[in-house]
This record gives sequence, C-alpha cells and structure tokens, in this order.
Amino acid sequence: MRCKIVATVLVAVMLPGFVASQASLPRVGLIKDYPATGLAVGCGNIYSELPGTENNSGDKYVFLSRGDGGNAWMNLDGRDTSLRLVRTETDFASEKITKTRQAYRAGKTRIVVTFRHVDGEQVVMTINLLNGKASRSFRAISSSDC
Amino acid sequence: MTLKIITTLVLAELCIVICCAQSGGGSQLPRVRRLRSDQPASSGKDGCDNHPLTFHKDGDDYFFDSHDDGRDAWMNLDGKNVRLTLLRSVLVYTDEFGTANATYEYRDKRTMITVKLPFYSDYTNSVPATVRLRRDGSMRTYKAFVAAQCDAL
Repeated sequence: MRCKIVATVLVAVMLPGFVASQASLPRVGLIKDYPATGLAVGCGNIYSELPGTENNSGDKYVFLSRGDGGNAWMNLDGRDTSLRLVRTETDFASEKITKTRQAYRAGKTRIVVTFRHVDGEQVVMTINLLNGKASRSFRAISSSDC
Repeated sequence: MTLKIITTLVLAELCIVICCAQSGGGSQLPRVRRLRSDQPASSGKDGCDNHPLTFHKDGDDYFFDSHDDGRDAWMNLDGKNVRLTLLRSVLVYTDEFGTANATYEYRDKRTMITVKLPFYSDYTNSVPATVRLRRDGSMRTYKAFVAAQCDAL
C-alpha cells in the first residue's frame, strides 16, 4: 500500500516535468502580412524563402529581418511573430563576413538563424527551432534588397 | 610514504603553475602603447559609434581604434601601428535598442587580442572596456575606456 502511494506521488511529481521536457515546437509557416512587418520599405533587409519557392508570386517569406538581424519576423503557429534578438555572432576572413549566427527568442522557443556568406552575400541559411530538448531545423534561401 | 611523495609532487606542480600564471610570461607578449600619429592608422571614421580606446578615462592616449562593427582595427604593438585581423565578433543584446555587450577577437601574427566593450549607438561618455593579449599561454589584460565621441543632445 505504502509502495503504491509512493509510486503515485512520484508519478504526480515527475509527469509534469516529463511532459514539459517533451515541449512542442511551433509550426512554421509563411509570413502572412509582409507589409505589416515594416520591412517592405528601406534597404538592406533580409528576405528568406524556402527552397523551390523563389519564383512563386505573393507572400512567400519564411523569415524577415533587417540587415543587422533586428526587427526579425517569422510565422509561428499561424501568427506573424516578432522575434527578440538575443545574440549575434559573426565570423570573418580577410575582413569579409563568412558566417553569421543570430539567436532569437519567441516566448519559450529559441530560434537560431545561421547564414553562410559567399563573397559577402548571404546565400544559404539554416533555421533551428529549440525548446528544451525538442529541436527542428530547416534550410532556406536568403537575399537582400537594394 | 607514497602518499607523501605524491603530495609533494602535486604541491610542486601547483607552485609552478601559480608562478607561471603570475609572471604571465609577459616578455613574450608585445607591449601596448598609444597609436603613433606618424604611422598609418585608421582610414578615418565618422559618427559617434566607433571604438577608440584609451588607457585613462577622458584621456586622448588612444592605443586602439576600430569601426563600429569591429573592422578596420588598429593597435600599437611594440611601438608600431598594426592593422589587426578580425576573426569574430559576438554581441549579446541587453535591450531592444541594440545596446549589447560586445566581444571582438583579433589576431596579429601569433598574438590573439580580445576587446570587450559595451556596444552603444553613440558614445557620449567614456565607458570602461578591457583588452586581453594572449600568446603561447601568456596573457596580459589592460583596463581601458571607449572614448566619448559626441556630445549628448
């Protein structure tokens, strides 16, 4: 009987923690209202699309931000979400940027965006979503205006 | 007996490590002096967000200078103005306005130079920074200040 009580208490204490560690990640969609992000104007903004959708018409961006990583947006769980920039790491070779890693926060989700640069141009990027032990990553193609 | 020998050896090793760390092997590291005006230095910087470093608060003894993104960095090492090779910059943001704790890693031949400073859009006051030189296990740290470049509006 005592054993049963102990087991019940243990399950009651540990189950919420276990469920929390299996935290779900938000679904990533295309940004719905691109002009509302404020990135439809100005120069040096970053526009990121999923591979194969570059020639599609209409709003097709999976990630948007200013050139310095600020004012970043993604569509998470169907909502256009502003991401909070936490950290930027930039690698250089001969004064040229070779790799940039930007870490963002959106609620409990951590988003790490890695750009690889060729001849100073951002070309391929990886977007990693992290929440506890859960993680998901996908690739995108980025370009800059002006 | 064995325990005594081991203890003695461990203590001796500890002494050597502490002595080496304290001496810092400073002789191998280049000396940092103020940038010379009769030698090439920065290519001219505009604005209030560059990183000219001085040894003294509100001083004009600049020994390091770079652009706001860490590029075009110059430092006087062993009496010569040297252009440093930027390897990496890390910004950890402290607010939504772009203020951050910045770390810039440079190299000049075998010497690694790490500059840490608070990253602001405008330096209207002199703010503390640190510069660390490392080479072959030797290390020296300088306390510095980012010079004020503009008046507060």
